[in-house]
Amino acid sequence: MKELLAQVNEIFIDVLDNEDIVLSETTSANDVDEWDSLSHIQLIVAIERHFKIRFTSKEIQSWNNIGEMLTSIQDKLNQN
Amino acid sequence: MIFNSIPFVLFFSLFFALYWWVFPKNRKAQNILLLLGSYFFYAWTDWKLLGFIIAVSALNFYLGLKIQQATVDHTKRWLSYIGLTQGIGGLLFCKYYNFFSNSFNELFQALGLQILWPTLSIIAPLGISFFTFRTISYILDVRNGKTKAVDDGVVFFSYVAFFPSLLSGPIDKARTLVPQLEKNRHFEYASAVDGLRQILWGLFKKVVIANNCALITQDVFTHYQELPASSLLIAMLLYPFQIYADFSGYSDMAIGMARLLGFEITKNFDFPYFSQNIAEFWRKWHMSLTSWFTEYVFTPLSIYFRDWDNKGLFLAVLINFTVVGIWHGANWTYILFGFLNGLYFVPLIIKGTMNKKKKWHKNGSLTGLEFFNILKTFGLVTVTFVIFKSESVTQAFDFYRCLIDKSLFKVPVLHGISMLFLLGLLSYIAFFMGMEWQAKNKNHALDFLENKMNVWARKTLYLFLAFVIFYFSSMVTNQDFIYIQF
Amino acid sequence: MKRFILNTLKLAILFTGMVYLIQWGISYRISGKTVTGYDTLECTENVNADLVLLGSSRCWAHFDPEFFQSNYRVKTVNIGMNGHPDILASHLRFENYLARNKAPKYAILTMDPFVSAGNLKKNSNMVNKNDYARFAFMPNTMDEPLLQYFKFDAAERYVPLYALCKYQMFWDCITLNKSDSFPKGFELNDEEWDTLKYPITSENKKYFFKESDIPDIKKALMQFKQLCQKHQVKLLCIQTPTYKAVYDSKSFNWPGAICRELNIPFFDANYEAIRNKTVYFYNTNHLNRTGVLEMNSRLKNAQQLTDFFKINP
Repeated sequence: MKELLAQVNEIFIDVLDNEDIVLSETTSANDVDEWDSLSHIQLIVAIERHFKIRFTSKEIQSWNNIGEMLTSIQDKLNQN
Repeated sequence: MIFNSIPFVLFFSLFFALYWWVFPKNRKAQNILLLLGSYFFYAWTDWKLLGFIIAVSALNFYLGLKIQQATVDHTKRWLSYIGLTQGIGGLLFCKYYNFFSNSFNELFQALGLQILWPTLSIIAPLGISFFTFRTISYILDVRNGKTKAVDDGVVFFSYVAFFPSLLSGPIDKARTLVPQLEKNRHFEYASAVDGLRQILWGLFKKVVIANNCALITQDVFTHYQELPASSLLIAMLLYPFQIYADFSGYSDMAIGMARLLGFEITKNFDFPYFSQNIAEFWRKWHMSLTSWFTEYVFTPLSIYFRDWDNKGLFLAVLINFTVVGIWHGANWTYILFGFLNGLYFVPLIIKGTMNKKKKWHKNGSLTGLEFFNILKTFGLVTVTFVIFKSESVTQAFDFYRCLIDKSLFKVPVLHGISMLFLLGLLSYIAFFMGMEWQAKNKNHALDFLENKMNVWARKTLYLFLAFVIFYFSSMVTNQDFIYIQF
Repeated sequence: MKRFILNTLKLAILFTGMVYLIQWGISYRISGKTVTGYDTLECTENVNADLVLLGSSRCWAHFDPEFFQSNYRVKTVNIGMNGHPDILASHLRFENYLARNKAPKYAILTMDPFVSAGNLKKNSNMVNKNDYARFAFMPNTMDEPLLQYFKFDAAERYVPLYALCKYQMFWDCITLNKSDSFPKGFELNDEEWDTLKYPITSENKKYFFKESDIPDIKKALMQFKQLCQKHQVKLLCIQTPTYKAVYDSKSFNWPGAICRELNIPFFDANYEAIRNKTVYFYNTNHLNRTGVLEMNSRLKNAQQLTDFFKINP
């Protein structure tokens, strides 16, 4: 999980163009200024490409924070 | 019953007294009172359609419970489709049926077909666009597990008909308003006082700014063909202030009233005219509607289109804003208004600057570039509001055509408006914008005063505001709020 | 909660007090004066004229008090009501005048085919209502009938400043910039007839009273006569000129006939020489300055008028 978080953090920094972002499992969209509905989709695409996975629409819309997102990523990676 | 009318003031005062004195700390009784009050409020304007809102509430209440109980995903989906069909279907039928049948008939005629689709005389229930959006968000949230189904009928029915925001928003999602209905509410002095302040400011915006701008814009937009282009320019520049003051004024009153009753409902405007790009503008304009569309239209679409990168984003934005446009009513003008605003996003998406949230400098200063960007954004919005205001798309383009004319340099003609009145109005607008600028990081324009002015200066300001509101509301007979028609 | 109610009430009381104070200040400022020139109730108090001129705008525009004063040596005041050809309006206006003054010796009322009886309960003639808004707040008993005539409602009577704001008289009352609109005590219009603004048509004939209206008019006029008798005022009705486009002999004979029937002296000043020329008018129904002077030069020689003022009542 730690490893995953670090990778996702990198993606966030890259996509949102902000070096100062430090994510934790409880971080949600409210805590990161640049993370809004529009950048959300760019983040997802970047994550999907990075991990070579594909989420369902329902999964994406069910996340309430980074932790839930990480669980989804973990699940996908395990399936592969 | 509109907020700035004597019957409403009497109704609300009585309601307030019953709510806090007769049923203090009795949540159940307060909720029942809220429900009855909301229905009374609704019936006052439109008693014939009270049954409609009750039926809609009952259906969605039942569906919510059933969706939650359902164990199979399939059943959940089908139940939610019933809710969506009712909601979207009701809207389409009441507000758009004639538009579609007229458009079809025109199309048939153009194709040389002799088919006549019947048009009906339908009365759209007041506030249908607003309360339907509440029920739709509720059904979707229950289905997606974002909120629990409400099992208390009174709570749910009050959520749908909550009178401060029933006719013209803000559109609260179930997950923000329902929990407040479910817990005990306490009277808080500071919050109630601030609620009153917000109502005062809302009244100022509606009665002083919007109604007086309307005196000019109404006439110019009706007689634009006979007037010099300079008159058209004035009306075009005034209209954004009018519609903003009108609608955000209503929202301020609704929010303030809800606060007097112990509720915190969704913020609807965040000083949109200080936005530096169009994306920021739409984050700050009619926020409860845009956040609704973002959640239920834009996000699913953008997820669906995500493999196409920027092109997918364009498409999602364009569709989203076109639907936002249609939401306002059945007219090509609204569709074009939404579509154009969607187009405005294209350069932002290409540059990748769409989601860069600007923060104000600590000392409140503004660089030249920022100021330019604010003016640019205002300009872009102003151009589309001409379409929004026009009766038809043809008229809007005719208006533009009349605007680009040598008579732009002539002395403007404004029927029945003296120079003194115009100057007065402009100074009220300057005061209005100045106050909002001061408060740009706050909830509303009178929110910043506490720390900046002493008690007497504040009281003087309140008295001044109350006086100009009194003056102008005596003078002009009550004018309806623009957004009540939607 | 208590604190909230208390503080809200305090602010509300402060506001009400402020509005009251402004209303009181304005009432003080305009008392005894006219604000627009049309609201003559108070500025004609204690003038104790010998002759009072009454009627519609055709009284207000046509009768120069100065002319009567110099010709017949009677102190004269014109209290014609612009836009109110109904006898009821003149009746109420005269009562108001009588309450504020010693009764005059003479009264002249304009009579023409445009008059109507008027109906206090069903009055819908609101011309110049705004000029009377200044009298609406906490009215005195003298003005009450006229306020009823103009249908001022409870809010306008009891909410301070409300009537003044509603009828947009607030700034006029403060600046008094229009109070000198009619320095001669009647309209006295210098304009020449702008036929674009006021086309020459017979349109206004539609306002003539019909034969079926006559019983009511008689009744109203009879009541007016009785009011005059009660105060021992000698009454004369005068028909003043209209442009020929709205003239027809049948309609213009009725007023005289009605007066004769009621035994009220009637004088027809609708001279043909005036009627035929546009220079005398500023629209079909109203004389301009030239027209007024022309009419006066003719009235001067009218034996009937001389006799009317000669014989002491």
